[in-house]
Amino acid sequence: MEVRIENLTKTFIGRKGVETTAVNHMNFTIPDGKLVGLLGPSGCGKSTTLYMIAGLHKPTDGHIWFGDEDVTNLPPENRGIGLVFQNYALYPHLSVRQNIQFPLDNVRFAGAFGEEKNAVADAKHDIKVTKHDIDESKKAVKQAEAAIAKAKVKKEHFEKAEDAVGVEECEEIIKRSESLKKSAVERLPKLEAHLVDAEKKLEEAVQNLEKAKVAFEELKVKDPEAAKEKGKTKLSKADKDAIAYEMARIVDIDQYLDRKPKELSGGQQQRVAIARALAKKPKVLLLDEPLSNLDARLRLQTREEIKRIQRETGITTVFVTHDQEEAMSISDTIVVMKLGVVQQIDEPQKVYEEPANLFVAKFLGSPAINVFDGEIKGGKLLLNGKVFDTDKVYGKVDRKVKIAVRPESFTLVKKGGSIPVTVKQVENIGRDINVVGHVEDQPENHLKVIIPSELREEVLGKEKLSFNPKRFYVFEEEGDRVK
Amino acid sequence: MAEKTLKLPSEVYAEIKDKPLIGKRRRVQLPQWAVAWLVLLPALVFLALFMFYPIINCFFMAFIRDFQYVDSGGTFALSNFFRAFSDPCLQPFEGAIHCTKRLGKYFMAFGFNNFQTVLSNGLFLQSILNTAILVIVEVPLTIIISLLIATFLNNIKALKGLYQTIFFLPYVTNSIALGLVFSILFSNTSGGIMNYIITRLGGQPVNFLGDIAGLPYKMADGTIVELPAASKFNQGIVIVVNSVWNGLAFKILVFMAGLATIDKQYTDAARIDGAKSFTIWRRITLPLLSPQILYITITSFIGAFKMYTGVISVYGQGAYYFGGINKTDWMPVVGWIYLQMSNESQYKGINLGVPAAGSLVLLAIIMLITAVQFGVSKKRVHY
Ligand SMILES: Nc1ncnc2c1ncn2[C@@H]1O[C@H](COP(=O)(O)OP(=O)(O)O)[C@@H](O)[C@H]1O
Ligand SMILES: [Mg+2]
Repeated sequence: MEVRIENLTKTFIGRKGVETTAVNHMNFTIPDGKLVGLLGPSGCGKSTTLYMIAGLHKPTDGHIWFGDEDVTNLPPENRGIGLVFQNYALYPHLSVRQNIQFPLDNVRFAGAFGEEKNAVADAKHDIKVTKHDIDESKKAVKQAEAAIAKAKVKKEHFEKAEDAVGVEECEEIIKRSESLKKSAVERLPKLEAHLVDAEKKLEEAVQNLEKAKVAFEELKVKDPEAAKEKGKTKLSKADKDAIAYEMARIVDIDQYLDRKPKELSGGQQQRVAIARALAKKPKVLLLDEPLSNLDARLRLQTREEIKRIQRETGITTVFVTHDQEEAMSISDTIVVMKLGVVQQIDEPQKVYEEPANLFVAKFLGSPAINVFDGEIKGGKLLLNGKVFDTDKVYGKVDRKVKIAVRPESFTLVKKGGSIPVTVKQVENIGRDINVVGHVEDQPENHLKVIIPSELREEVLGKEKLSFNPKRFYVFEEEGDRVK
Repeated sequence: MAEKTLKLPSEVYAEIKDKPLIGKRRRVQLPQWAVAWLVLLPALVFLALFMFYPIINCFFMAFIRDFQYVDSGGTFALSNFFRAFSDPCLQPFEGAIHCTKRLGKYFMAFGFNNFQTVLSNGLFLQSILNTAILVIVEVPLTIIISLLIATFLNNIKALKGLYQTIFFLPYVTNSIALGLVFSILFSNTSGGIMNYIITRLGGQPVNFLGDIAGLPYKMADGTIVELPAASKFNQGIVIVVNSVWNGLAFKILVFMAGLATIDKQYTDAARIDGAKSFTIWRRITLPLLSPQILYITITSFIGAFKMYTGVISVYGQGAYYFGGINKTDWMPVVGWIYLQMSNESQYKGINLGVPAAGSLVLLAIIMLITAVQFGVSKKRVHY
């Protein structure tokens, strides 16, 4: 199911009335069956966003849509979602099996003739709403008529007093009321026709229900087993056991079904939480930093597992994380947030290659992107006074800018490269070499360059090196990208 | 205003670098257990004086005939015990073994006869039954009500403090005073709101407080009717209402404290899992509150078995009035014990062995029930 976030805002009022806007006018859409990674530093409002989608927090403003349904005011128990909490929140007094089955215990079916019953209820509701609308329209007609009569009297009064403005105002009111009356009068026959229809439908629904009741009685006699199956309102113990076992198997905890949560390691608890969230086949799965408490190996493994389960089940998923690598590897789309404001929404590769601003550029990639000071003068981009970019003409306004180059985007040149570097240290890290230093004349802007280890001989022992960028980004001082 | 400037850490370190540190103190260090005993000592002294000594005394009294403080025994029960061997005037218990052979001319003045007396006393057995009925009705009622109130108090936001204060008031009110309030509420004279409501709704006045039948009752319209005879049931209602109300505050407090420790994430998770409020309460909140429920259940049972003020305060007619013409309608076990120690008893407060034996019987019952509760709770309490 598609999930649409529209203008979503959450402001907490803390003690002493201090306001914190945790989420600020957020907009994004998760296409059906996709996995969106919500990425941002700690405290930027990721969990708050998730809790609003879950219904645990009420938005201050904005809407949440599940498909065509506006669920903004729907309580969480009616949203059909699965949520894995940051610290699992497994029920400590229930076994793993009971934990996974808990959502299933709450499933209620409408029973033997549920469909027919629902149809009757729907028809009754329709009639009630239509009747209400008819009353409202009649009231509107009366109100409009009263308003017209009153305005007419007033108009005469004004005409006598030769008050042109007053007359005009009255005419305006009359015109408006006339149009209101007209639309209400036009609405009425339609509504009445609809009421007749609805009443017919109700009659039919009631008849169908009676038929279904009779049929069910017959079925009871003919085939008691089938009748029992048809009439059940809850999942049977066997059904629940089957699902619990299957879910436990998917997340590889089936051997611990009878343990209590506190008898499991952090990673195992996390997987139980995932199994519990999946058990009722949620329409939307929400994961709040689900891998944060796992060790490195298990994190990789579980990350792939989540991706696999998500692909297999096709459940629309929101995955919250502060780990850019995790977000990059698992998401179909990444939403980067900072202080409650969305910075960029794109595919992982695009976020990495085309960062919308300096914050995104710095937040993604490890080691982090290198940033140094440049300047635009006469439409030219300069670094340390020399022309940095010969290809492009920048805007007319002369100003200071930031130039950013990813560590792996440097090419070593013998001489005259556009980035002169003062080397502090050369680190050998196996396949690659890290050159650590700074751009000449900018000692405060640290620099880390990754080059292949074949170039070892050429950099060792040198104090100065010269590089050309394969690719670079230019940002305004305040962070926006210069296009 | 002068701005406060922070020192640099290096400055702080430089300042304190050459200051001498305090030398190792070569004081005699008491071992931990000794310190513990020392701290406990005052409490232990008082406990010994006012708890252990009376309990031990009680044990001796229960097994001896004609225990007397003033007599040759002094105040230490054990000396009374020795007297049993050495006092030729002391009569032996009926049927006690005649020990002349082994002890020369002395008799055995100790045995189980006090218990025999107690257990064959009709009033004692009735008081056990009375207490049992009150316990069985009151304890579950008070626990359920306090649980519900605590849950609601925990859920409401507006005026929470006010409600908490209201429900806490009984805790800081004297229980005799509280009982008197109830005795007025249920009385058949002015101020008897309950009877006023009942008669106003078209009913006949009810003799809630065990008064004699035929007393005049003035209806709201001025007519006088006769008060019907007191029934045990009606009096029981007042006693139960009084003791439930009396014990509510503390239980609510304990449950609220317990509820506050339950992480909101569990109820959030349960809502996500599709559970309705009542399901969450039954399947998540209650089990997580089970340690507090166990604590309250056990202390309530013990407290209810020791019920006394809760009964007399309702009647308000003295320490030995428990309702009815015989004054014994709702006599609790503790009431019976007090009565035996008083001058109103057949023993005129002289034979303390009988009430002592009664207390031991009560003690045995309470211990047994507590043990059973602990046994049952093993499976159902989640720590
Ligand atoms: N219940 C709350 N009351 C007040 N402020 C809150 C509350 N919950 C979260 N916040 C604030 O909202 C901001 C976002 O929090 P959160 O969504 O938990 O961040 P994240 O999950 O991205 O680390 C933080 O500044 C936090 O202090
Ligand atoms: Mg968070």
